[in-house]
Amino acid sequence: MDIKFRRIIDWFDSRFGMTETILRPGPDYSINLFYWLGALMVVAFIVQGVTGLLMLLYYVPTVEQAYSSTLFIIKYVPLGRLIETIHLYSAYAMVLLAFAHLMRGYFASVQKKPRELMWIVGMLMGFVVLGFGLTGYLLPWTVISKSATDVTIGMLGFLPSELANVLRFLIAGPGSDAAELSRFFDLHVVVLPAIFTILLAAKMYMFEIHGASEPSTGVKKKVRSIPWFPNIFLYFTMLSCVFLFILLVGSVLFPLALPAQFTPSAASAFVPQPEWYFLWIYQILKFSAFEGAWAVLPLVGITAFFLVLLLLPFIDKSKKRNPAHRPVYVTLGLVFVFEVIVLGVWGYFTPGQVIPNTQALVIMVGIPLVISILSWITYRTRRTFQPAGSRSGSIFRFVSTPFKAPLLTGLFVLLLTSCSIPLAFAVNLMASPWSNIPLLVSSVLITALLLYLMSRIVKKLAAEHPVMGARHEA
Amino acid sequence: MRLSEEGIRGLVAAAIVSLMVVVAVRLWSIDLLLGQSEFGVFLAIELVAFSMLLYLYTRVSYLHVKKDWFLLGCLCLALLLTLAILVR
Repeated sequence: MDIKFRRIIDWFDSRFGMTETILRPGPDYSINLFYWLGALMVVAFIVQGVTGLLMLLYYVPTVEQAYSSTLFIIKYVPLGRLIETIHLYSAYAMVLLAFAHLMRGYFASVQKKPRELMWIVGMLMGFVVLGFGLTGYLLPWTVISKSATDVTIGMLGFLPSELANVLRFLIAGPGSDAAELSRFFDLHVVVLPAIFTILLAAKMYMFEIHGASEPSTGVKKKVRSIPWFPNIFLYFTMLSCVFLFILLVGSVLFPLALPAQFTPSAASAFVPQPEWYFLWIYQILKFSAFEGAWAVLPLVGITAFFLVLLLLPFIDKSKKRNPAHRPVYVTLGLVFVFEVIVLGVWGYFTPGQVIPNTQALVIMVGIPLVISILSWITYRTRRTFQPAGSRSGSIFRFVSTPFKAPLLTGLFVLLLTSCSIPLAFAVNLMASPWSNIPLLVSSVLITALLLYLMSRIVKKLAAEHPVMGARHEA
Repeated sequence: MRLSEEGIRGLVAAAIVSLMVVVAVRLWSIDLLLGQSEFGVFLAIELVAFSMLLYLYTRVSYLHVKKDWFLLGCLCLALLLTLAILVR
C-alpha cells in the first residue's frame, strides 16, 4: 500500500483504534456487491433519516397544512425539492434493495443453520420497510396518496370484524382524517424507525457472531481474511458513494411533482392506485374471482405465503445450498420473482379494472408452468451434460455454456418456440377445461411429446459435447 | 502504463482532488433555491470522484486496479459535467 496513504490510515487508527473495533475481518469472497445489498439498504435508511429530519423542520402533520407545507418545502425551501425527491427515491431504493437482498439470500440458501434468526429478523425488517412506504405515502395528503391509503385500510374490512376494528384503530386511529394522518405520522417518524433500528442492531450483532455466509457453490481451499479497517470500510464507502450518486442523478433527472391536494370531490374523480411495490398484491385482489365475499381468500393466501417465507429456515431442512442441486427451490423462487414483476406491471397499466378470470388464470398458471418447464429443461440438460463423477459447478456458470455451443442454443430456441404454441393453447383452455377436453388433452400431449424429443436430442448431443464435465475435470 | 504504479497513481489522484476542489467551490456558489438540479449534479460529481479516489487506493491492497472501472468513472464524470451544463 502507498506509504503516504498508509500514514493517513495510521493517523486515524492511532486516534480512533479502528483496527481494534469489534467488527470482524471479512473473507475475500465478501468483496462482492451481492454481499452488500443489505448494507446499502441501511445507507438508504440513513439517507431517509437525514432527509426526513430536514423536512420535519417545515412539514406540519395536520389535515389543513400537510399539503401546503409539503408544497412550501418544494417551492420555497433551499434544496427543498431535491431533498423531497431524494427522500422518495431512497424509499424506493430501500424497497428494491430489500427485495434484492431477500431473493439473493433465498437463492443462496443463507437461512440455514446457524443463520435462521438472521433470516427471520431480516424478513421482519422487510415488513417494516413496507410499513415505512405505506405510512409515508399518506403524509403529503395528495389525492393519490389519500385515496390509495383508504383502499389499503379498506382491505382490513375483509378480516373478521373484531380483528379489523382493532387493526384499524391501531393503524388509522378512531376514524377521522386528522387522527389517521396523525397516527400515520407517528408510525412513520417514531415507531417504525425505532423498530427498524432495534432489528438492525440485532441483525448486526448476529452478523458479527456468524460472519458472512459462504458462497452456496462452496469456497476455494484458502480464503484470505481482509481487515475491516481500512479495506472493507473503504470498499463499503466506495459502494455507498456510487449508490448515492445514482440516487442524486435520478433525483435531478426526474424531480418530484406533487399531485393535487386531497379533497372528497377530487378523490371521486380519481381511480386509486397503491405505490408500485404493492401493485402485485392489489392486482391479485382485482381478479373477478375474488370479488365480494371471496376477497378474504387472496388476503389469507398472501399472509400464509409471507408466513412460509418468514419460517423458511424451519421448513426447508435440506442441507444442500447450491442452487444447482435445488431445482424445486430455485423454480419456486423464480416463479415468485416473475409473478411479482408481471403482476406489478400489469397492475400499473390496468388501474381500477376488474380482471377477468381467464386472463388471471393465464398469468397465475401460465407463468409457473412456463418457468417450471424451462427450469426442468435447464436442470435436466445440465445433468445430462455433466458426466458422472465430475465435480458440479454453479448453475450460473452452466447457463453461459450454450454460448459455447451455438448448435445446442439454436436447437433450444427452436424447440422452445414449438413448445410454446400447444402450451399457450393448453393454458387458454384451462379457463374453461370442460368445454373442449379433446383439444386440451391433445395440447398437453403435444407439449409433452416435444419436451421428450427435446430431452432425447439434447442427450445425444451431450454425449458428443460434455461441456460442464470437461471444464471441471480440466 | 499501469494505474497501480505509484507515480501514475499519485498523478491521477492529484487530478481527481483538483477536480473535487473546483467542484466544491462551484457548489458553494450555487443558488440553493433556483439551482437545485445543478447542485445535485455537482454533488454527484463529487461522489463519483471520491469513489474513484477510493478505488485507486483501496483495490491495490488485495486486487489489481482495473482500468475498465476507472475509465467508466471518467465517462460518468464527463456525462455529469455535460448534464451540469444542460440543467443550468
